[in-house]
Amino acid sequence: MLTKLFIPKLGMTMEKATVAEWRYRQGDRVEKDAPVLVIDTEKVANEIEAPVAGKLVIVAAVGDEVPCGEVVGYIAETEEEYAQALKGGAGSASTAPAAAETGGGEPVPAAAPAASAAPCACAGERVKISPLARRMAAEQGIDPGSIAGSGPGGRIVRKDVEAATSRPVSAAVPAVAPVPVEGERQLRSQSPCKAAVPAFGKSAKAVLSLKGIRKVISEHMQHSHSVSAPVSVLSEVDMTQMIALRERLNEKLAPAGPGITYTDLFVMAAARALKRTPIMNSSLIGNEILLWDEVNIGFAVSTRMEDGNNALVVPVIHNADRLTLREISARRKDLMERARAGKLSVDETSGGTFTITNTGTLGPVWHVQTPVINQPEAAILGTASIVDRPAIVDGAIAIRPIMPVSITFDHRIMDGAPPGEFLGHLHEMLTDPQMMLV
Amino acid sequence: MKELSKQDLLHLYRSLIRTRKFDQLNVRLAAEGKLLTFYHSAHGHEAVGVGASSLARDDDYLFIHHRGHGLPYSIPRGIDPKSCVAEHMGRATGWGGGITGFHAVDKEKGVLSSAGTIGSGFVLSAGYGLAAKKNGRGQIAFCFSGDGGVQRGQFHEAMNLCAAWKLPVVFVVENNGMAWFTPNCDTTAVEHVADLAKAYQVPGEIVDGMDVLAVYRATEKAVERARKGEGPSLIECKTFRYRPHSEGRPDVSHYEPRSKEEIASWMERDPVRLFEEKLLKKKVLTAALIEEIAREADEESAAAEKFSFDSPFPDPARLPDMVYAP
Amino acid sequence: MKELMYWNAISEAIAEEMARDEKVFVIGENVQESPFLATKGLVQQFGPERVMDAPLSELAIAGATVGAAMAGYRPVCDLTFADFIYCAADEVLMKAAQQYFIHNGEVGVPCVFLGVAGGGFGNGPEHSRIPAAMVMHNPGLKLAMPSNPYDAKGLMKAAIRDNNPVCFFFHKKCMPMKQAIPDEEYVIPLGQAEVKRSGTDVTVVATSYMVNLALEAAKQLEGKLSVEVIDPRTLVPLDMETIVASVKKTNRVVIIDEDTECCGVAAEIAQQINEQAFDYLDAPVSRLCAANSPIAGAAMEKYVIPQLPQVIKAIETAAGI
Repeated sequence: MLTKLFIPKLGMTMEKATVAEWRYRQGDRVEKDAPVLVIDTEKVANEIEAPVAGKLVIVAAVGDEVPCGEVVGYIAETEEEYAQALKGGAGSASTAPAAAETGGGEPVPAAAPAASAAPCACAGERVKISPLARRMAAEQGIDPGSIAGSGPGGRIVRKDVEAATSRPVSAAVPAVAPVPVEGERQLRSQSPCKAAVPAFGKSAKAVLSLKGIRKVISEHMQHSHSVSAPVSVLSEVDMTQMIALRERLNEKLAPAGPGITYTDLFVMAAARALKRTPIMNSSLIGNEILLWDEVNIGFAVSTRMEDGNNALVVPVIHNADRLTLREISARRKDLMERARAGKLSVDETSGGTFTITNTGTLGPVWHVQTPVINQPEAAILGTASIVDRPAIVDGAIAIRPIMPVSITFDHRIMDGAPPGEFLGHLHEMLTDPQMMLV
Repeated sequence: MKELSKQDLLHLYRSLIRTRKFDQLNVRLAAEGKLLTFYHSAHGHEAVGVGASSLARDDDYLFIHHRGHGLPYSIPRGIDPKSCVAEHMGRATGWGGGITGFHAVDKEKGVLSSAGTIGSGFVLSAGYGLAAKKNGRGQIAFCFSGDGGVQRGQFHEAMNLCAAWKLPVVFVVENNGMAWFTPNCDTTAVEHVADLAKAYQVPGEIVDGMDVLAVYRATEKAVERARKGEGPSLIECKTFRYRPHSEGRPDVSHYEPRSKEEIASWMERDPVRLFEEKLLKKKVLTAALIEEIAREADEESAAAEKFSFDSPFPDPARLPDMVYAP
Repeated sequence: MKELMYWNAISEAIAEEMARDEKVFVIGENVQESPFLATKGLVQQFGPERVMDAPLSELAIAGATVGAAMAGYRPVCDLTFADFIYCAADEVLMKAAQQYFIHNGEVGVPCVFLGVAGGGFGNGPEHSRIPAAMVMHNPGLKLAMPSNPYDAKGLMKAAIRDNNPVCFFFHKKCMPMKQAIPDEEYVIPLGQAEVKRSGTDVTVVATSYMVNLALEAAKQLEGKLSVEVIDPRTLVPLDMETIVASVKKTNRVVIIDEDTECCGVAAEIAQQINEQAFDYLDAPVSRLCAANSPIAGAAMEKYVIPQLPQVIKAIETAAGI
């Protein structure tokens, strides 16, 4: 029997995924439940396990974006099925039914040859191209299949790639040893990372491909700025009482469980402030502003990617307004640890209605910030490092622990009043934590 | 010819006993699978190596024959045989650092080489002799070989060159009548290797290879001639190997078992017992002394086995550095 | 500066080293008369004790060389024709090459095996070979193949001073070459290739006399192709760094070698290029070698050994034109 491997729908909002890595090669024997494929979704990377044991047929190549439910490969139980899938696999993939959830176990029709020139081992004839030309084409983002080759037997050579680009690139790269970069393994597995690549008149010492979470963040941030009208409001909060409260709580709670962090307290305060200013907990979708019933607060976690790059992941504490401080803290800790381990589910990173980004760990030099709204939310709260600063207390100058606070809101949805009101509530609760009880 | 002192005679006897005990140790270790290489026993050949190499000076050069993988040639010269055992067990404390399989080396005592390609010894020894002659310090080169190697071209090229240039080389041929599993009478019409030497104007003497003193006396003459600058000599020692060509192999002549009678007749002329009887008669040895020397040799070989067993293997990271000299 | 012939550069290097180190001596067949001139004049300067005419016994000559080297001398062993290394193979390949290893690094074999190599004079299968690949295939040996008088002198001095056995193959066709040689002493370290001509379109790695053909071809291709010519000068050690740097620049390479093609020098260099510069290749590594045939004699030789027109064609093909 031939069993389909398809892109599963892992969360409500998930529409497609990118094939990030095949853990096995074409024709390899895979065991049932072996992680066979890694896909990048909008939020996180996921491992797909083999539903049955058998021989792997790869249809979608690494880097392909595939809609949910579409076939990316097969597992063949017999050699005949394997051969059949290899012959028709690519063609059938494009016509595979979208009913992915029920897709397992269907025999594959011996379909017509692949129409699309998917760069996979089973999809038609190999493109003849010199190693140098292949590397240059990859660097220029040109599909070698689109280039006409002038070399022996139609081989694509350097001058063909040069002709195919408006900007002729000197292939005469300086002869230096490749610069080892962190995460070289991953870079090698997917995208060319070559030493001293001349580009734009400068020399790049390494090339990190935009993919996975980094690509998602990149698209999200650009999307946010291209669709919203962000305005940032900056403020300061006297944290004297909040510090004292946290110390008291941790004295009492710490022996029994994990310590309460400032983020926990901000989540709790923000959830309550959002309840009082509903427009801050909304989304503009189409021509409608939806005021969300739930208060789902995301918080940004910095993770380190395999290539050494940092990437933000935003796990969500659902219904934060209904949780106790201890529950928020436990949930936050669990989500953060799994975010760093790359083990979040799609639902745990979706459904947010508001986001907090706490940059306290970046130190006091990180002061004023204008966070980018996590679309389609209406606003984002940024909190930074608490620093001793002069403050007027009862008409006299005193040293107080001050925390900078920023709000970026979407001016399409609201004007200045709601964020002002929200900040007022927040200010009240952070300077006098008893107000959280009210 | 100087009279041999009691001490000299005891040195020869002790060397024979130690050579035999260590040879037996290697034979046993080979059978037990503890040698990481092959082994060609010297059993029966002991008198030749011991008798001849006892005459070498520390600054002379020696090319050794594969019988006993160096034991009969190194033991009389004060080279610790435990480094032989360790080498065969592949240990870093072996005489080749545990990387050579078996090849003996002791630069201080002039043991420069042994050869897997039988016959190379003749021409390399010509080179040692050439160096010795150029040095002008009265050094000589000893070249030990079997009778099989004589049939290679190197023997003839070396005889010719050494004779022509009067190189100070003493060729000692251990003629046991067999090359591997093939008797020489079927592969050569020449019965005595010494006759071949004469063809190149090299003095060739035939001696009883089971008699350590006969070997010693013949070598003494050849050494004297070489040191005086009169050129090379060849001593053909008629001997016999009691064991198969190498351990673990059948003891055959061509493909049939060797004659038991022949082996038994040679056993009656065991080189160790012959010498022992002679020394007992001369009152150089006593029963008590024989027992003491045997016990010491047993203890020494047992200690060598333990030493080798306890020694570390070489670091394979060394290997690439052993290909080229800095 | 003085002008020296190729052979004279070699004999001068040997003479200088013999004067410098009394452990250096020459041994071989007819080394006093020296039909190939590399040791000519040495006997008059150093006497027959250090320039030794030996019997026609390659095994004895090579064996004595190895033995004397192990005993502390630095012999220069003249094999006359490089082909005759096969007669001495046991002593050169099994002994000279491996004694250092067999003796756990305690005893080295510092010596030179000198041989006149290559075709050009129609001498046929047994006097025209360059057994370079065979030497390369035997770890423990080094191999120098000078293409001009300057290199010949500097490499010979390095070969004699090296603590390993070095095969030194000089080419018959280089004999008429004359070159300015500095008065002051110089040594060319083994393992340094030289870019004999720089270019941007295609790299030619050529060995021995083929370097000179490649340079002539590059000259004739001027205006049409910019050819870079690299002479490794020694094949063991092999300076891949210089070759790879050039391939990364030109992206195309042809290797021209006079040894026979199969499992040859060019095959080894090509594979190392594949390993080290694959992503810089715009065409397969190509080669031009002697045909897989005995070297034919007399008028037939040119059909076996690469000639200038083939060299030009090979460079053009490698460059994609």
